[in-house]
Amino acid sequence: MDDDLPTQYEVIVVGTGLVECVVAAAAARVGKKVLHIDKNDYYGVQWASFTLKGAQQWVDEVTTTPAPTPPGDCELEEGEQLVGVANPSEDYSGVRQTWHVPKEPLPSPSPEPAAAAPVEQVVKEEGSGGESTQVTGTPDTPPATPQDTAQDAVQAMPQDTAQDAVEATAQGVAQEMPQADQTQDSTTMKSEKEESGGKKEWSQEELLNLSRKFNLDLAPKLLYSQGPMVELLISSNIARYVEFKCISRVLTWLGGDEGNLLVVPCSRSDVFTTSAVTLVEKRLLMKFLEFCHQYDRHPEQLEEHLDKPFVDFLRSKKLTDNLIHFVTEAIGMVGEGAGCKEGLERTRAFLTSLGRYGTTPFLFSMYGSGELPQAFCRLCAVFEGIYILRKPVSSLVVHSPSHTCRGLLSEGQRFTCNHLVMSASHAPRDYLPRDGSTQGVSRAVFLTDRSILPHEKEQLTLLRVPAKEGNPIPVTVLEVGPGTHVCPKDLYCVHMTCQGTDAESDLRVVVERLLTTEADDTSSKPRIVWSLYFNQVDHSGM
Amino acid sequence: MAQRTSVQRPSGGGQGKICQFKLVLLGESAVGKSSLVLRFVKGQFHEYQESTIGAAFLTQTVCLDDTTVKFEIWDTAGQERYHSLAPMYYRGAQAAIVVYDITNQDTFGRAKTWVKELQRQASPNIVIALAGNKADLANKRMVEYEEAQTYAEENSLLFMETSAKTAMNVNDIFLAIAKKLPKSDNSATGSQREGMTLRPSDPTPGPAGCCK
Repeated sequence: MDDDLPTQYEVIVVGTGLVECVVAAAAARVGKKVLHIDKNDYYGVQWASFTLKGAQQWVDEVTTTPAPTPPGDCELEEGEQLVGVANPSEDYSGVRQTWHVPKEPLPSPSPEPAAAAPVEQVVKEEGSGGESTQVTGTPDTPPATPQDTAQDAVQAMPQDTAQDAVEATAQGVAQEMPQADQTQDSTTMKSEKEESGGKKEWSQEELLNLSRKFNLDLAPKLLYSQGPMVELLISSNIARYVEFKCISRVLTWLGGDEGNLLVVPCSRSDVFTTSAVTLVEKRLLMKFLEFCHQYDRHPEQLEEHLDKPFVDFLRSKKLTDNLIHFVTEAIGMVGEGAGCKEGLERTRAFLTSLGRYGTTPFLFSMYGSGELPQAFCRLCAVFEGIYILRKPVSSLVVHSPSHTCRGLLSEGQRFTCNHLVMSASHAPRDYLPRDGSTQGVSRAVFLTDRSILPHEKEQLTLLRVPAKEGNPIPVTVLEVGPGTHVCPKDLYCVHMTCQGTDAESDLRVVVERLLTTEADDTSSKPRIVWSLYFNQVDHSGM
Repeated sequence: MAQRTSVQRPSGGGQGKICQFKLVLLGESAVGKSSLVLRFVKGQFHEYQESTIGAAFLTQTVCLDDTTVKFEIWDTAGQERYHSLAPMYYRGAQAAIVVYDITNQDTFGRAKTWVKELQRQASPNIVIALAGNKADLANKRMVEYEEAQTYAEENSLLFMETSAKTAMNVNDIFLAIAKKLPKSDNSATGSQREGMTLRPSDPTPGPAGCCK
C-alpha cells in the first residue's frame, strides 16, 4: 500500500454509482486529476451486482444501523467547517430476504420435497436518501456531466403496461383469421412446453456454494440499442470492456389473475406472423409505426393533437382498440393516460432501437448491470484517475462564506479539490430539497427454478404487467438466465420493479400471477427458491 | 522453443484458424507489467515508463503452427494500487500473467496473493503464468529462481524470468501461454465471447426492423 497518495485533486468523486462513474470518467478523459473513492469494498453503491453471499452481506449492511462516523478533525482555515455526509444505506427500507428451500440438501431425492418453512429475515428501516443524482459542493458544475446519458440509462426500465389490447385483438383474430390463430397459439400461450421432468431440488447450502455464479442487480438496467448511453459507450471505447445480450422477447400479460403471457410482436416480421392482430389491423399497425418513426416530418398531421392524450391521436389514426392497447402498453410503454407527444416519443424510441443488435430494442449487460459503473471507472483509471475502495468520508470541508466545498476528510486525512461530486444518497441531508415529496421504488429479486414462459432456448425476457384488472401499479419484470452469467445453470433470476413504497404489497398481484413458493404447485409456474424485497428512495426527480 | 513459432506484428496474417483470448496482467505497482506488454506489443522499452499507460487495452497476435492466437491484453490501469481492482477485470479472462520483480521479495509475496485472487475470482480453467521480471538486474536479485520455480510447479503455473528491458523471454512467455490455451475448433471464428460487443452502427440492416 502506498502512503504517497496525493491529497490535491481537481475532482473528487464520492461513491461508485453509475452516474458518479460517468462523471469521473468524463473528467479524467478531459485531463482532470480525479480521485474516486467508495466506502464499500465493492463497486456500484446502489448500482451494484452481488454474488449470493454478497447479497447476504448487503442485507446485513442495510438493515443494521451503522455506528455514526465521527466527523473527524483537522485544521480548518477561517470560514471552513466540517459537514457530515449521509449513508446511502439509509435509502433502503423494508428489506426482506427469504429462502424457500431447506438449509441442507435432502438426504435422498424424495418424490415429495418438503416445502421448507421459509426462513425470513425481516427488518424495517426508515430512511430517506436517493437515486443517483450528483450534487456538487461548489457553485460550479463539474466538467462534462453527461447527465442526459445517465438519465437515459435510468429510464431504461420504462414505466408501463401492456395487455388489454391483446385480449381484444385475440378475439378479432379468432373471428377473422382462424387459421393464423391456431398456428400461433402454441408459441404464445403459457408454458405448453413443460421442461423435462426432473426439476432440481435446491438447498441453501448448494446455492451458497455457487455464490460466485450470481450477479444479482440492485438496479437492473436495460439500454435502448440506439440510445445515448449506447452511443456514449461506443464513442468512449468503454463498450470494449463490456459484453451485452439483446433482450430476446417482450411479453405482455393478457387478462386478469387467470390471464396468460403473450409475446409482443416487436419487429416487422413479428407483426406479419403474429396471431394477436387481424390482417386489417396489421396494415394499420405497420402504417402507423412507419409514421411514428418519422412523425416530426408530418407536423400538419399532429398540430391539433400534440397537447392532447396519445389515445385520442391513435383513434384519429383509425387504430382499433386492440392496436391502441398494443401501441400504448407494449410498444410506447406509456400507459393510457399519456400525452400525445410523450407517446410518440416513446414509440419512436422503441422503434429506432429495433433491429440494431437484435429483434427487441433493449440490451442487457452480461454479468449484470453492475458492470457498467465498473467499465466507466476503468476508463477513468486508464486516464490516471485514482481508485480507492473501502475509503469512507468522515466529512466535507465547506467554506461557508463562499458556499464552496473545498474537499473532504477521510480517515484523518484531508483531501482538497476544486469540484466534489456525490450522489444525493451521500449528500448531507441539509443539501437536499425539503419538500419531502420524494418518490420510492419497490423492488423484488427472485431466484426461480424455471422460466415464466419456457422456451427451447434460453430467453432474456422483458414483461410489463399493466395497471389493470386487479393489478394496481404497472410492474416491470425482467427475467434473465445463466446465459448472461447472473445465475448458475438451472436457475433464473427475476427482477420486479415498480413505483411504490411497500414492495411486498405493491408487487403481490404480479408475483402471485407469475410465480409460486409451493414446491408441489400443480401449475407450471416457476417456483421461488430465494427472494429479496426492498424499497428504495428515488431522488431522480429531484 | 520458438523455432516453429513467431510473434507477428498486427499486420502479419496467419493462416488456419484464429483464436482470440483475453489475458490479464496482475502484480504490484512498478514490477513492470506495462513494460512487458509494451515490449511484447510494440517492441519498445522506456526506462521511465509512466505508471499507467493511456490505452489499457492492447492486442497482439502470435502464430502457432496453423493457429493464429490473438491476445487481448488488459492492464490494471493502476486500479490494483489501492486494492481496488474491479471484478469486471477478471470476466472471461482465459490467461493471466502474474508479474513480480526479482529484486524485490515483497512483490513475490504479493504475486502469490494475486495467484490466490485469480483462483478465487477468475474462471477455473484460466492459464496462469508467473513472470519474474527485471531479470537484467540479476546483481540485485532478492528472489531466487529456484524458489519461484518451485512455487510455480506446486501451483501448476508457467514460469519464466523476463526482462522487458532486454526483451529476454518476453515473447516466449506469451508463446508458452498461447500453446497452453485450449484452441477448440468451434472457436475458429475467433472470438470466444458469449455476448456481443457494441460497435458503431452495423452496415448490415437489422434482421427485422419494424420500420427502416
